Amino acid sequence: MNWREDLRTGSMIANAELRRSVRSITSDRRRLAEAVVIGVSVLLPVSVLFPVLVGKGESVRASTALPPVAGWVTLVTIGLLILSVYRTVSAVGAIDQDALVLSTVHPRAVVIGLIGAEWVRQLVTVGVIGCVLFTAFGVGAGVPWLGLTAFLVGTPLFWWTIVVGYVGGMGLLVLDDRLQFDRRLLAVGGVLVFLVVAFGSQLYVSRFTGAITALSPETIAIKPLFAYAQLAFIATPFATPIGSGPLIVGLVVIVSTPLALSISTRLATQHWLVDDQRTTNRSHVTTGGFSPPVPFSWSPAGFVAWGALVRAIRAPRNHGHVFSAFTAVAPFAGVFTNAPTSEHGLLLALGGVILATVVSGELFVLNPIGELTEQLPLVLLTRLSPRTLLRGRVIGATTAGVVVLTSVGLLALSIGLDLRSFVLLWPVGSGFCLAAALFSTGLGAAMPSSATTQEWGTETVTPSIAAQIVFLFTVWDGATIGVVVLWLVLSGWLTVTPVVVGGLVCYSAVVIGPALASYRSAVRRFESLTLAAVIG
Amino acid sequence: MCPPAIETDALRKTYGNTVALQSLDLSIEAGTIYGFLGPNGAGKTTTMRLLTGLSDPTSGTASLSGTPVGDRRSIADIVGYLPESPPLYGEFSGREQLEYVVGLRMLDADRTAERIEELLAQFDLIEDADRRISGYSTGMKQKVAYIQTILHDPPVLLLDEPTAGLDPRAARQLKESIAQLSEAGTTVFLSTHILPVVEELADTIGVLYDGELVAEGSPDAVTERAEADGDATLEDAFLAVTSEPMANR
Repeated sequence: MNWREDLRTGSMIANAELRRSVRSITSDRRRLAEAVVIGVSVLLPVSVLFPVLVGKGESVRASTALPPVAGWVTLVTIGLLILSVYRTVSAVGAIDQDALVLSTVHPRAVVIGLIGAEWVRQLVTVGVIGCVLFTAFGVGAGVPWLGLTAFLVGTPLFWWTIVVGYVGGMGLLVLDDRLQFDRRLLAVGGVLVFLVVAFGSQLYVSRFTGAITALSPETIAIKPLFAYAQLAFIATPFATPIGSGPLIVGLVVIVSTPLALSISTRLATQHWLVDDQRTTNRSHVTTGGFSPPVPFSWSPAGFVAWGALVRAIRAPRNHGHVFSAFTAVAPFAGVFTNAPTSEHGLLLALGGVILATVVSGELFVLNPIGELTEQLPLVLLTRLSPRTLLRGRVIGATTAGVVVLTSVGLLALSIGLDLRSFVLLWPVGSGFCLAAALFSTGLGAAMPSSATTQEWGTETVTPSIAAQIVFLFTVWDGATIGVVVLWLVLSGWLTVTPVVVGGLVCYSAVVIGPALASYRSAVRRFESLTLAAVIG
Repeated sequence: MCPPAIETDALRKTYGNTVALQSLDLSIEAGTIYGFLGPNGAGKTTTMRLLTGLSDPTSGTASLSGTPVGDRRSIADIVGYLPESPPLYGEFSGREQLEYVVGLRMLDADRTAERIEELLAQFDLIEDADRRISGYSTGMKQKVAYIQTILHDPPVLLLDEPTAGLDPRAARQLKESIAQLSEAGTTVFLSTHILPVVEELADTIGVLYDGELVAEGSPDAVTERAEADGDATLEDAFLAVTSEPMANR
C-alpha cells in the first residue's frame, strides 16, 4: 500500500507548505505587520482570560470538583470540526501547482501533507491558546501541568477533528463538482445561510431570554466525549475513576482517523482530477457585447463602473472579502428581535443602511491598486485618466450599495416602515454609501495588496487585512453612530433643536471631509503610479 | 518487443457538449521526439493532461511505456511533465525547489545533488540558485521548471511550450538538452507553436486540429503534403492542414 512512502513524501509536503506560509508572511513587511496586529488582537483577550481562569481554578481547588464544562468540551469539538470543514472548502482543499505535485506523488501523500500542515497551523494558533488557558486554570487549581496533560489527551481528538473536517469539506467540494452548482447561486445561498444563522441565533436567544438555562451548553453535552476529556485531569485532585467509556472514545478516535484519511484521499482524488465543466460551458454563453445601460453609458467613468459590476456578478468569489459586511450587521439582529414589532420596519431599514455602507466601502475600492495589478499595463497605457478610473470604481461601489439599500428598504416598507422614513433614509443612506466608497479608495490605495491567495478554489487578490481592519473600525463605527442618531430622530425621541442640528453638521463634516481627502489622496497616488511601484 | 513509449487508443475527451479531443490514436516509439502541433484550442494541453493522468478521459485508453496512465504511482516514475505555466513555488529558491522535487520523487539526495549542480551550471543558474524564485525572470523560471522535469530521468517527457520566454541562448541550451535525452532513449512529446523548434528537433510530427489528428508523419512528409512544388515550409504545411477545407477532407 506504500503507506510509509506516502507518509514520508506527505511530511515533506507539509514541511514545504509551512515554510511557504511562513515565508509569504516574513518576506513582506506589510503582511508581517498584519500578522503582528492579528497576534496582538488574539493575545489581548487571552491575557484578559488568563487571570480569570486562574481565579476560576482557585475557586474549585477546595471543592475538588470540576465546574460543569461537559458542554464546552462538546462545543469546542464541534467548533473545531466546523473550522476544519470551512478551511478545507475555502483553502486547504486545493493544491498549489497541481500539475507538479499530482504528476510526482500519489494523491494520498498530498492529502497527508496538506492535512499535516493544517494541523500544525491550527496547533500553533488554536492549540497553543487552548493549552495556555488550560494551564491558567491548572495554575489556579494547583495543578500547573494541566496544560501538558490537556495537550496529550487533546492531540488525538484535535487531529481527528481536522481529518474528519477534511472529509466533510472534501465531500462538499465533490458534491459541488458532481452537481455543478451555479457559482452565483452558491454565493447567494452561502450568504442566505449565514444570515439565517446570524439572525436565527439572535432570535432564538431573544425568545428564550426568560429561560436562558435552556441554552446552557450543558444541554448539548456529549457525555462520552467529556468522559474522554476528563483524562486530562488524571493525577489531579479532580481525577475521576477511569471507566471503559473514555477508552472506547479514545479507541474510536484513533481507529477512525486513518479511516477518515482513506476516505478523504478518495474524495480528494475525485475532486482534484475532475474537469470543471462550468468554465467550459459558460464560455459558450453569448453575452451580446459590452453595452452599458443608461446612465452608465453616459460617461467613461460609467463604463468603468459597469465593467466592474458585470465582472463582480460573473465572478462573485473574487470579492469574498465583502462577506464581512454581513458580519457587520449581525449585531443588529439582536436589537431587531428585542424591539417591539412596530419598530421592525425602521430597524430593518437602518440595518440596511449599515449593510449598504459597508458593501459600498468594500467592493472595488478597498484595494483599487492591488486588484488592478494584472491590468495595469493596459490601464496605464490608455487615455483613461486616473481620476476617471477611480471615479468609475466609486460609482460602481456606490451603485452596489444603493441596490442593497433599496432592496432592504423595500423589504422594510413591506413590514411596516412608513413612507416618510423611507424617503428620508434613502438619500441619507446613499450619501453614506458614497462617503464610504470615497473614503475606502484612499485607504485601499494607501495599503495596496497585490498578492494572490487561493480562496474558495479561486486565485484572488483581496484587500490587505490592515485596510479591512481600519475600514471596519472607522466606517462601521461611523455609520453605526449616524444610524443610531437617525433612529432617535425618526422615532421621535430626539427633537430637532439647534444643538442637534449643530451636532449633525459636525457629524457630516467629519464624514465628508475625510472621505473627500481620502479620495483625493488616491487620485494622487494613481497619477504617480508606475508598474514598478506595484509589481516591484 | 518493447511496448510503444506513448500509446493511445480512441482517446476522447468532452466537456459537456464541447468535444476537446475526438478520438486520438497514437503510437510513439521510444526515443522519438514527437512534435505535437495545433492551433490554440485544438486540444494539445488536454491531450497532455490525459497522458499524465491529471485528467480522466471520457472514453478510450492511454499508456506510457505499457503502463496505463491510471496507474498513478507507476506513471509518476515514467513521466516528466512540464506544463505551459512553470509549476514552481515563488517562496523557494531555485535550489530548494529542485531539492523539494528530489524529496517528493524519493530520489537519492546525495546522488542527485551532483546532478542538480550540473544542470544548474548547464543552464547558467548557479549564481541565482539560492535566490527566491519569485524574483526570477520568466526564462529563469522556465529553466528551473525544465530541470525539475528531467531530474528523475523519466523515459517519457511531455513538454508544453518549453522554449516559451527563453532567450536564444537559453533556448539553444534547452534544445541541446532535449536532443541529448532523445539520443539516450528518452521519448519527448513536444507541444509548441514555435515551428522552427519542431523542424529542428522532431522525428515525427502530429498536427491536431479541432480535437482531431489531421496530419502525422516525418517533418518532410508533412511538409510535402502542403505543396507539390517543393518550396513549402513547415509553416505552410501547418497552415494548410489546419485550414477548414483541408481539415474536413
